Amino acid sequence: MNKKFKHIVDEYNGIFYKIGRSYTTNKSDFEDLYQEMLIQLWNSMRKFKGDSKISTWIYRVALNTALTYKRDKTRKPISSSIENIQFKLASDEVEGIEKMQKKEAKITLLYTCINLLKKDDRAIILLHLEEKKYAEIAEIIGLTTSHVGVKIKRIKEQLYRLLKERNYGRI
Amino acid sequence: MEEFDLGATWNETKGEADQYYKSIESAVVSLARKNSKSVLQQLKKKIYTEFGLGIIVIFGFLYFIKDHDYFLLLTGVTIPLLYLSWMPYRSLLKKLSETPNKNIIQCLKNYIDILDGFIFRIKWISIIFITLGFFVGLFGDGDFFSDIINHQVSFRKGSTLVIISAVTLILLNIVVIKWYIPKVYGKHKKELEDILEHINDEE
Repeated sequence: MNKKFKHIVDEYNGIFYKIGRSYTTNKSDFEDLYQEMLIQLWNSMRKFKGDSKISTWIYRVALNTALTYKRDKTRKPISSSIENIQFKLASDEVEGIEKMQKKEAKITLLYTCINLLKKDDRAIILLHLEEKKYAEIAEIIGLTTSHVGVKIKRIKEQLYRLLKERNYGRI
Repeated sequence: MEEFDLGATWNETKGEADQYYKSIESAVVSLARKNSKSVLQQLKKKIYTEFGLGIIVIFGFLYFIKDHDYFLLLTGVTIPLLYLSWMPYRSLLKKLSETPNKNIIQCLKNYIDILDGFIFRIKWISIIFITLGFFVGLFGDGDFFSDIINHQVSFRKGSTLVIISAVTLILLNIVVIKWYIPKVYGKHKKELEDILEHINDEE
């Protein structure tokens, strides 16, 4: 089971990271939620019967955890037990500093604006940005495909407005 | 035509995600095997505690009446009843463990149902135990009423005491039901209900 779990997380770790950043605003909350998503995935693994795509199941578990998340202040942060933890943009030697700073600023602003959306809207836009088809988003959320379409249109408008207000286009 | 190319920025997070993952990769399984701190997990623990306490009370009672004539009969009735009362707890635990695998709307509905059931049970347990505890503490030895009957305490004085006790009891229950329980679980439930309501709109 350890191997299978590790293999899944190796392949889909980006999901936890992106969801973690979309639902938290500081490092300790991010780490707490990231760990909670791992725990829920571990606990849910035996219940997964393969009746949906593995990515659909992972998104469900991770998003359900994020949506119902309530910070626990007693848990030790991941970074206190692991050395050299990074919470910054991966540095790329080929890229210039300015370009990297711009990239980092854009990412940070995007997450800041996503964080300003309602919790359920964050889940939908996140799946849309992950290029999931409407049918899969509908399966993860539990809505109809047409309803997903309506929602995405409205959330995108709201997100663009938030980004514009913060001069995203000028970065 | 999209206003901003958000997809490109979004995909650039992959570098960050990979770097973060590398720093925790060796510990990922041990991190996942830690105890969950979610509200569902807390409820699970409370369900076990609730049932465990019930068992202790029942076995304590059976021990207390072990020399009674009806001991065997009562034990024979209690054990199957105990098993039957485990059934709703078992289905609740099943619902709890299945909830994270459901789609988001179903998960939220389950979550709210579970919290609702828990709040309902805890309210009634509080009302019953506070009331019982209060009256057993105040009038448990029976002297109070016999004193009133025997005119050792005036009817007026006795009635005043009963009214003060009843008001205190009601206030105590109000504090627990209107303040403590909503403070612990109500806010979280309301938040989930708002999410569910918002997710279902626009249809």
